[in-house]
Amino acid sequence: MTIYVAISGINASDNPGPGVPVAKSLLAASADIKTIGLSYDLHDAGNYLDDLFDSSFILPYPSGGWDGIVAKLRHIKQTVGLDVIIPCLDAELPLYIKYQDALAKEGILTFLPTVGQFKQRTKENLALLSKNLDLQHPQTQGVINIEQLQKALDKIQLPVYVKGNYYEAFPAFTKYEAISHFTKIANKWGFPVLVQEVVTGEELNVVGVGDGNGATVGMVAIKKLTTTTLGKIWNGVTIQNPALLNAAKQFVKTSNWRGPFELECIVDDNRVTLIEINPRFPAWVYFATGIGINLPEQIVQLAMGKPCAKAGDFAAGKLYIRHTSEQICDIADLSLLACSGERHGS
Amino acid sequence: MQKIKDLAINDAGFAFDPTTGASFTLNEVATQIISSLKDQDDLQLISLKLTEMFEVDFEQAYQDVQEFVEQLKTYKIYS
Repeated sequence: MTIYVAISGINASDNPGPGVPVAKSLLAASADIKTIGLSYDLHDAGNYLDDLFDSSFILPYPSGGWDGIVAKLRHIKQTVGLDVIIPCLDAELPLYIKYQDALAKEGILTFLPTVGQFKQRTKENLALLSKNLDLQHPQTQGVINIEQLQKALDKIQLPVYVKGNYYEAFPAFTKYEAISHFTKIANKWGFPVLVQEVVTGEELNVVGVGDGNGATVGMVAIKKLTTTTLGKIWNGVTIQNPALLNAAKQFVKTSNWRGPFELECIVDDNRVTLIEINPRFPAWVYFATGIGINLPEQIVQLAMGKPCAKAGDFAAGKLYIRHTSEQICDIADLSLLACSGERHGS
Repeated sequence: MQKIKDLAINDAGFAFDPTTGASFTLNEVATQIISSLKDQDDLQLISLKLTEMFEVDFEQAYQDVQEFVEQLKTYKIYS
């Protein structure tokens, strides 16, 4: 039986989305899966990767509301088929989470956290969640103008991280650097801009899937060895850090987390500081697939209500090498997407 | 102590810490010292082993071992 799975976040630039690696993982899992790319930008690489996506569709922006998106999803279901959606972008997740039951009634399945779970891990609530999990959380303050920035610097003390509410973070060692980062981030991502205490230790990450009943069905922990200027991974290595893995399990158990997640932590000996929880796969999720833990496949199984076996353990010391690639197409391919809003692979 | 036990070292002196992902290369002497620490040898015994393996007197070997162990403590590999 063919399963049609739509995946968003199919950009693959220097700040890549998780969509392309999710598609790679699903194609590695089963020949019965057909993948559909959901894109907001004609230039997203996934729109042209015919070996990874059978079809690709341009969606209206989430800021325009749910009606436009759901209309397009119905069109996809009618024209090529649509059984499961794996949304991979932060900006669209609140909508998919809010309307997941309505989608299910139309036969479009997801496996996402509840509204409550989603809110628990937002930047405003992370300090409380960290406390409940017995983890550390860096002192963080949201600011919307230079005066507030100055007060935050006085309170937290330099050096600090200046962060966008959704993306990007830069270290600031002086007040002037902090102001410069604040201005740049505010212009790009809006307010509030976050000022965060610098925590010492190793920056480590975990990707995993929670079954919604407190169990972690699969997870992999890594250390990023080299990154881009935006902090996106180039090279990484799997690690077995008991304190970190235990923190991830506790998070899933305590919150009954449902769906994919990524934990970003700073670990110093046994002290784990929780920096961020992303309620989706990270763009390095294919690392887990490559070492035998196919988390996107688990999401499809869970979404369809099928039995999902708990993934086995993984070894420390597996190396991840990301590299760039090129694809040559014709302007007619872009034209097709621009004019019809969809493109079907050859 | 636990961390040095977990440290994976190959014959070429490449060491990998599976708990943090850190890796580093060790020369022959450093490899020997870490192997001995993993075996829970004390500093005197490690120094004695070094005098048998390399052209070094006990006093010099003991001083080198002490300095190296301090470095390992700085990197939180040995406590």
